[in-house]
Parts: sequence; structure tokens; C-alpha cells
Amino acid sequence: MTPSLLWIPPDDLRYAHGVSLVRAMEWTLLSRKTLDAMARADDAAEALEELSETHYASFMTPGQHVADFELILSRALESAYLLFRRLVLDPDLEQGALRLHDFHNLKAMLKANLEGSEPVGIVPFGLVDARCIRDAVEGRDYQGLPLDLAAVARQALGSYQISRDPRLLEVIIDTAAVAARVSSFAGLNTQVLPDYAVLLADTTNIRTVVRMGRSNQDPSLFDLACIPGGSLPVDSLRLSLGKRATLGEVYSMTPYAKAVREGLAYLQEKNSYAVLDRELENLLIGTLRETRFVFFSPAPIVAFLLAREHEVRMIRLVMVAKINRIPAELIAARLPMLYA
Amino acid sequence: MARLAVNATRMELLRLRKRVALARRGHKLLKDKQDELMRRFLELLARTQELRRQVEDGLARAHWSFSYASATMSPEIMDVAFLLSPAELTIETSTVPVLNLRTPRFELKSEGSTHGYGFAFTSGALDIALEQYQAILPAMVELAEREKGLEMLSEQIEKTRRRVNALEYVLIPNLVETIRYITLRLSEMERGDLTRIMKVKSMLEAARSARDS
Repeated sequence: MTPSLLWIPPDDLRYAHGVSLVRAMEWTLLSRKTLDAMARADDAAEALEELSETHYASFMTPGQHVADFELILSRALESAYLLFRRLVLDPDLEQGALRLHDFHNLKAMLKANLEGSEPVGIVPFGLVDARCIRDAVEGRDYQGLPLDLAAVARQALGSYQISRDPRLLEVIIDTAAVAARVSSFAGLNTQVLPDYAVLLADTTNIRTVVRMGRSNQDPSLFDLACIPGGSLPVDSLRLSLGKRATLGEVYSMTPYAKAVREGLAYLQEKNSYAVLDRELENLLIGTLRETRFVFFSPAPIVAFLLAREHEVRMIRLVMVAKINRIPAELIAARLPMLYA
Repeated sequence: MARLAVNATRMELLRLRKRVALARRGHKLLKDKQDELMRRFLELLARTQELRRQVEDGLARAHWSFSYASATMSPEIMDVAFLLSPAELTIETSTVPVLNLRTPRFELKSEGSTHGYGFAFTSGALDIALEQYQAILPAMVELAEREKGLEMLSEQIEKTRRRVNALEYVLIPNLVETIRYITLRLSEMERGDLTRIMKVKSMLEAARSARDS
């Protein structure tokens, strides 16, 4: 986005080694050509074979079955997180990138605890040990958790106990999770990442507005779901709720005009968010690509991690689509640009 | 036809004649019932086939959307999204009389939204998939009600058909055959008695004429 073009922060030479390592690793990111080849494959097994020709081969075992593709993706993510934690020297940045998983685990534990079932969907990539979160949730004693997690846990639980609405609980935790990433990136004295933070807040808010408007959700929910730190005024976002026809006009003078216009047209025509999601992701990836011209900053390291996460999501999209025999052209319509 | 093991007496004949009249009346009633069951079965079948097509199309669309939604989210996010759902579905059951059958009636009641998850990490495709499942749910419950009704009707038709056939091809012919046998047997006995009386009479007359002479 424009502010970073006008202002160049000082070089952070601590990251010279990390950036050069990440540059060397960028060849391992998938190209659009590979992803298209996977999408065009006759079946999931053939798509997995295409994947085995890439860097992902190092996460596969001989005779790996199609059903195990999530394991391969999980190993790839684990490797990316390990590399990230090794290279990043600022704890704030580490928190901004990985705290998301702690919030996810907190949400899983709280929901499972309130339901009286065993927690599911725990991810092992967070900064706080999942057992520690579980103990805190079960004992309703959040002293052992980082302050931000503890505050959100108390707020979400309190809100659920009043309303009995699990959506409120989830919205509060999700908003805190994204807001933590946004504020962490926005506060960095570096290029690209503050712009990315603004884009992340805006695109998340746009998606929320469109989804809430389409399913006629209570507009007051938006006050909880809105991610602070974006460039779009909260009032205009709130006003555009439920006005799908005029949403395009509301965003016409913003960088999101094309994404919203095309996304809403596709949603109206095909009842699918595919184009909106694709276009908004293109904006995010487009911004991340600007880190290619940054050398002495943590931005390329963060961009590499985010690019890997994005890539894993795209591989999952192709593989699940192939397993469920979704036509290749529909997959291609959803695939956004890649970092590589 | 098999004959019943009964004594060839006039009392038995009268009893069998009453039984055959009753069996014929029962056969007619059962035949009428079978026709009515068949009519209702065919009527319900036509409506159910159409409903099944609608449900199958709706489910295929919803499954497709759900597959797409699961492709756009990690399995962990999907798992957590479905924990602690605010939606509560209850089915109240009752029965409706159809001839002598009591076919089931299901009434679906849903409370709360199926959307018990946030917006930031879940995909909009999940909203669409759940809406499609929710839209098809009443039709699925109605289909279950109709198909159970059809199953019960077909069982009843089969049972009635077996009874009609048993009356038509076994019981009534056997009774008729037994009546015919008893009638013949009684006629035979009458003829025997008559011959015996005539013989005794001629013997008595012969004895009397021998004594007179």
C-alpha cells in the first residue's frame, strides 16, 4: 500500500542471514503451473503424484496414501514454523505470527469444555502448550496464560454465560486473534508488513460484512466481529451491512472495489464466495510479494511463512476437490495467485 | 383339494355351511381392503418418488457445497466450528390411522441458528452448505415419514394378500369340498338306510307269508 512507498524504514541488519536463507528457500514454494497441473489431474492420486515432484516429497513417506495428504501438509507447516521461530529475533513478531494458533486452541478447549466433550482440532503450532490452555480452561484459572489470552478467555466465557450463544464466544476469540496479528504487524518498524496488517483487517471485515449481510445476521454482532486497524471506516462497514446491491458502491473508491464488485456479482449469480475469496487473497498475496524487494528486515521471513500457509491452503483445496471429484475448472476459478 | 377331517354328520354340514358363508364374506371384505390399500400405496408412492428425487438432488448439492467448504478450511477449524452448536432439532412423533394401520407422523422443530461459528477463519462456503442442509432437512423428515408409511402399507398389503389367497385358494375350496363330501356321504347313508329298510320289509313280508301259508 502507498505509505510504505513514501517512507523507508532503517535497515535491520540482524535479519541479513535470515532473509538470505529465506530467499534460498523460496524455490521450494509451489508455482501456479504446479498447482494447475494438480487441478487438472485425473484423480487425487495423480494430483498427489504431482505434489511428490515438489519440495513436499521430503514430507512424504513411501507408499503415502491420498487420505494422508493432511499429514503431509501438517509436516510442511511444522517445518515452516520451525524455520520461522529459528530466524525471527523479535518476540513481538513471533507472537504476531503464531499467537493465532493459541487463540484457536483456546477456542477449541473452551467450546469442548462447555459442551462436555473431549477437545478436537487442537493444532500443535502455538506458542503456549495446549495442555497449559486445557488446564486453565478446565480450572477456570487463567493465571498461567499470557495476559492477552487470559483476557479474551474471560471475556468470551462471560459473554457465553450471559447469551448462551457459542457464536459470540467464537467471534470474540477470532476477532482477538486477527487483531493480535494486525496490531503486531502494524506496529513493526519495517516495510510491507504494516500495509499487510491494514489489508488483513480490511479483507477480514469485508468478508464478515458480506457474510453477515447475506445471512441476515444481527448487525450488532459486527461490532464484536470488526477487526480494528483497517483503512475502511467502521461506520461505513456497518452501514453497508445487508446492502449487497450497494456494497460495490460503498467500496468503489477503495483498493477493494474490483474484488467486491466481482465477488458480489459471482455470489449473486452462482451463490458462491469463490471469487470474493480469490480476489481478496490476491490483494494479500500481492502485498506480500512486495517483500521481494526488501532485504534487511523481518518482512521476507514473515512473508515466506504466510506464503507457505497460503500454499498449504491451496494444496488442501485442490486435494479435497480432487477427492470429491469437483471439476478442474471450478477449482481453477477459486485458486488465487501464489507468492512464487 | 384337501378334505377336512370331520365327521360326516348333518350337524357338521350345517356348521361347515355357516363357515363357508363367513369365509366368503371375509374374503370379499379382505379383497376390498387389499384394493384400497393398493390404491393408497400407489398414490403415496407417486408422491414419495417425487419427494425422494427432490431430497436426493438437494443432498447432492449440499454435499458438494460441504466438500467445497471443507476444501477451503483446515480440518482443525472445521472440527472446532461444529463444537457447541446452538441449533437444537427435535422430532415429535405421532401416528395417523390409515385403514387399520397407524402410520407415523414426524414433526420437525428447530431452534437456534446452525451458524455457531465465527467469521474470521471459517469460509463463507460453510454458510452456504449449512443453509442447503437446513433447507433440505424438512423434506428429509417428510420423506422418512412417507417411506415408513409405504413400508407399513406394503407389509399390510402382503399380509392381506396372503389372507385373501388363503381364503380363496385353500379354506373356501376345502370347506366346499368337505361339504360336498358330507352331502354325498349323507346321501349314501340315506340310500343305504332305505335299501336296508326295504330288505328288512321284504324279509318280514316273506316270513309273514310263510307263516300264513
